[in-house]
Amino acid sequence: MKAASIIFVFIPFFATSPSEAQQTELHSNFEIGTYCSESEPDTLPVGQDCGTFYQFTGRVSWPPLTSVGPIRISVHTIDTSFTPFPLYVELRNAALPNCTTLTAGKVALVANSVSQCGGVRETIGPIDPATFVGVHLGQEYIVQLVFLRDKDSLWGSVGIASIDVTHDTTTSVAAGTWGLVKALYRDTTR
Amino acid sequence: MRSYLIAVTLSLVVATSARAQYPTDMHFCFFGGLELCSDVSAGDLFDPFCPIGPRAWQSFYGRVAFEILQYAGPITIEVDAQRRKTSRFPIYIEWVPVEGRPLELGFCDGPGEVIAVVWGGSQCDSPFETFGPIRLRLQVGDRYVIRAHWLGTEIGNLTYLNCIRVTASTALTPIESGTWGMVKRLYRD
Repeated sequence: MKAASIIFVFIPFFATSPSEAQQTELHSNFEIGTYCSESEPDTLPVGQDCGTFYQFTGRVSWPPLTSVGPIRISVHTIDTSFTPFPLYVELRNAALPNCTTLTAGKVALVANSVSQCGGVRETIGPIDPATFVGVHLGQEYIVQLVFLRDKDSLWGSVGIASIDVTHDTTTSVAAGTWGLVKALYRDTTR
Repeated sequence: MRSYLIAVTLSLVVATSARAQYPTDMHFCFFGGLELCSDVSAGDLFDPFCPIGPRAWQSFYGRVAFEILQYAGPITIEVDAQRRKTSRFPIYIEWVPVEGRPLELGFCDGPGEVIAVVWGGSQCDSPFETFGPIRLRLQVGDRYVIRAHWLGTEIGNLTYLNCIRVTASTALTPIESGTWGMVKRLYRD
């Protein structure tokens, strides 16, 4: 009876432990089922050798990420003659624990891309979620794309192949050594 | 049979009056108006020293949907918007159809289509920006919603909006606005 209760207690602990519950980074090629969106994706006709780029209408989002400090956002995009709008990348605090597209965020990156086979990668960072959207260490935030669509031509925002949100390790705090920390401590206590 | 006919007639009357209760035109101003839904308010812009009197505009992050309208023909949209020197993003004016839309979806959720891009005037007394006539992919009598979509990083780089006016034109094609003389001439040709 005692052994059974121990197993019963520990299984939920391990079930909620995997890193999936505490994602701190995002790497997406728009695999079906990994994101939520207001529309189905269209595949842009950019030529077989130029890659696969997607276009949506409205918002696309992923499950919340846990903030571990400043981040870097990188999108792989393509511009064509039928993509007159930029692609907006927003950050917002996560009001709900699941993937939602229900509200707006603050624009972190405006991807205008370039018109060339294979597209281009646009990167911005470091962005600190604490100062940008008020999400402090350990709290959750959401990365959201906003695609626009023209009424007549039905042309939309630039196409996207992938998005990567990574923890930025180039900030001065992350690159500091223990010696530097001690020196800073001495400076402030003198 | 008679009661069946009465029931059919009544349901037709109810259906017709239900569709007819939505206006075809709209004149909405934030100060005094009530929107259908909005995402996140980002604050006001107030100019107490404008030569034509004190003026105010409002900004948001995300979408604001206005009242449900009934399509009566191509629409003209007039917007009283204001930009500051630091404004970086326009306001996208979108339309959203009502028919065929999932009931659980609010009008601030779900995709829309852009019908105007508003950058705003730089003077407090700038005239309304006008777009149109714009033909929507709707049948006369169908319902739709106009909404404004803001994108921004901080309050300073948003564009501000006060009033939006939507006017429907009942002239659906250029032929309808032609004269009888022109029709006869076209027939002869």
